[in-house]
Amino acid sequence: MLHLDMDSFFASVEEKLNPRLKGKPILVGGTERRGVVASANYAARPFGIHAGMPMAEARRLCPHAVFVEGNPQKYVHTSLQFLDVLKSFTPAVEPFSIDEAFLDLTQVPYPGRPSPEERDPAVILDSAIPVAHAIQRAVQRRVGLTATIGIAPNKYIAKMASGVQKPRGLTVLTLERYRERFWERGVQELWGIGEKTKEALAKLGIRTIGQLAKFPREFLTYHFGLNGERMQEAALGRDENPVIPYYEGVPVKSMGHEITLSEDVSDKEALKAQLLRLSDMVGRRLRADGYLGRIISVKIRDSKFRTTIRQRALPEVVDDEHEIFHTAALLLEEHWDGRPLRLIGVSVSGLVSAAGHYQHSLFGQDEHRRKLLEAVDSLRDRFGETSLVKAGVLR
Amino acid sequence: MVHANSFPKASDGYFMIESIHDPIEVITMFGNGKMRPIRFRWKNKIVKVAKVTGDWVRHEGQNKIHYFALLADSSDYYEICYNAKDMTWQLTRVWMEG
Repeated sequence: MLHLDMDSFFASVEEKLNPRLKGKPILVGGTERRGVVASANYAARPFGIHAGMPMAEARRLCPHAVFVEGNPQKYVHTSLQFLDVLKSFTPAVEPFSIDEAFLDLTQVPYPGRPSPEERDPAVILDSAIPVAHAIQRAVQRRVGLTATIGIAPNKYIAKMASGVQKPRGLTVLTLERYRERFWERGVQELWGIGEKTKEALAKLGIRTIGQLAKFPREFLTYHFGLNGERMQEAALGRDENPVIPYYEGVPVKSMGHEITLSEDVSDKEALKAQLLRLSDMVGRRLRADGYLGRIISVKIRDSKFRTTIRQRALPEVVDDEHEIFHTAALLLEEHWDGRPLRLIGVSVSGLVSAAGHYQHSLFGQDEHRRKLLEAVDSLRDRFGETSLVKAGVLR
Repeated sequence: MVHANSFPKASDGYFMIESIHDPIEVITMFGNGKMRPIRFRWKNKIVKVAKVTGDWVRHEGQNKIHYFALLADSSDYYEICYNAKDMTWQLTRVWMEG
């Protein structure tokens, strides 16, 4: 398996389009006063700047950096270009995010590929190095950007491998090499483990990845449920998940939107207006992609960066923003204590395909409502998202 | 019209790409199913395009807005867009150092 990660993607796209930025520290992100850094190039990193950092702090650390307002269409266009390059090597390409993809080379005949009888994992993985180099060269030649690649026996280790050496890196990790390299390191280095989980694991005396790998599983399951099992599998470097080729589509688990507010907000009606806008965006996306969901979540982050996520399961699956908003507003009422908020978000999970659902409820009592939503969607498809805006959002 | 926001300006000692939404007139070459801006007029100034460094499309409903990233002869950087619906061009971003 290969994991390809484009190097400081958004910043590199800006640098490619505007060659005069070459060598300068570049920060891409929101230009609002409280936006965050979405991407920083390698010239900006020595100043301690990293993605996710508040833009104001990045500006303070590196006042001479170039600030560029992020432009999703530009990055999606380039993302499709590098995916095209990858597809010329194998059809088994799984886009993982706008700047990452997994490739399965097991079914691809390439020069130097060992015979099926070969059992040494190092020999098998090392044989893919020339292919990885060819991919890096092709991406550079046809897209004008650099990429880092990890090669491993499974997706999880490949993802960890691509983080070892950046930019333009190429790292091969067998299961044995993965354990040698990572087991002595802190659990936070595992992909998917954040600060809170690190603290929770520390309470059990688990600080390194090796300790997590060897911890009695029943205790992990007791404390973390299914997630405990998953974390231990990750620590062990086990991952049975196949690459899901782009043409099969990746199953969507949730859809959501969140917004960092331009200033801290403690006015309930203003927060509800944001919830309405976000619910509208989520509902629209659910319907556009043909999904319905049953679990509504609200995420809030206060001015001290304390994050709370609360969710509620509905009796029926929905894709109607009014129902999403109604539940989201109730969650806010119940779980927000009035402290000023800097971020608010809404998401819907527990998704099912809409196609099967509508076959059962074609003549249900909500048919009138459905027709209204279809009419609104159709107008927005034709005239753009801002052609119809809910009055409650205009505060 | 320069887009007003609280972001720092080059005159404050910061480098930045300025967002602009000025109408422009563009001479364009069409060929091989593509269009390529050759030169444009912005505020009575003629800008000759030395290189198109990239292009992309934004959808606004059914309408397509075609964007181009350009390096001018002067080596200034511009982003311009063509709105296919009303057949107008706009300068959207500019980077002029020094």
